[in-house]
Amino acid sequence: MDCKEVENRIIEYIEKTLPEIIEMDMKAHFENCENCSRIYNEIVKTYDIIESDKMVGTYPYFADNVITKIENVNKSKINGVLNPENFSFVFSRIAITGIAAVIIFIVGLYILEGSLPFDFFSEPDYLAPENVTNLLLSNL
Amino acid sequence: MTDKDLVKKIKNNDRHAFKELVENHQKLVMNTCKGFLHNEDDAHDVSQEVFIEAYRSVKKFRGDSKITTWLYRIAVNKSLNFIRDNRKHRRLSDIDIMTGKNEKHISTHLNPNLPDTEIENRERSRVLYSAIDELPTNQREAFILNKYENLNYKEISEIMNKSISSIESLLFRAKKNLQVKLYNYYKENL
Repeated sequence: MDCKEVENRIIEYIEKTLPEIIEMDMKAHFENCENCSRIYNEIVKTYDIIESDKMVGTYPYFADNVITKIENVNKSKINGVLNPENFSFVFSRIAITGIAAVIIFIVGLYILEGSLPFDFFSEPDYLAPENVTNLLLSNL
Repeated sequence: MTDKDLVKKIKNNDRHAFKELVENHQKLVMNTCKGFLHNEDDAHDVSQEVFIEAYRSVKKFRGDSKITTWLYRIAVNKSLNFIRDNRKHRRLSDIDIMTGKNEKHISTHLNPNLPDTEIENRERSRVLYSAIDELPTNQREAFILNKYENLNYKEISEIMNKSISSIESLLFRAKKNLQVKLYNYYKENL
């Protein structure tokens, strides 16, 4: 068995899932190849960390803490729904969004049409100078 | 009391039954979360979220599967969501580690008083967790359920909603990928 074949089977060897004959070949290779043997030893120690990671005992008061959290979440939900401060905050957010939408709509129309839908800057017809003159003359 | 009886009582807002359920399955949920998160504090927090979610959605649990299958599913989803949501935070903390701002990391590697084995074990943990984290999500999930919770192919297939042969294939590929990463790392670093 060469080093490449050993490399491809290391985890199966660690987990003892190889057929016996291949396992024996691997063992023989490790006895004769210092490099593979060193790498194998490191991989075994690394893989073993999974076992040491597992919980042995349990946390005391874990269940009580979970229940307390659930009760706190329930309380804050009730407060959130009934709290008038939250209601006015939500309302003001909606109002600001609505106003912003109207402004964007007007600006968008101006950009598309080249003019405003209602002309703020030109004076009304009845204030035009010739109309004012006629009005004054007719009242004399 | 069996899990079935506990669930019936929890649906009727029995807090004692819920407490018993949590105590019975705390380890299962914690181990699963720890497999994904590699950190006991994070696993503790996410485990609490798992049980809170279980309490909230217990009325939807129809009993088609075992309660443990259901808890495993919630634990996996919560863990993956936690990883996704904290990816930005983790990137910043990785930068801190690289630039030396993370004092805990510095003390691990520069503290001459730490025994060599402690330093070596921390490095091995880092290598292992990095290799697990680089696995595709499905492979990682199957591997963690198999290795951290000793679940067999059938149990994992029920949790992941996949066929047994799919699970077999996922586990095979996960181990092969891990093998390559670990072998290449130690080949270059020994």
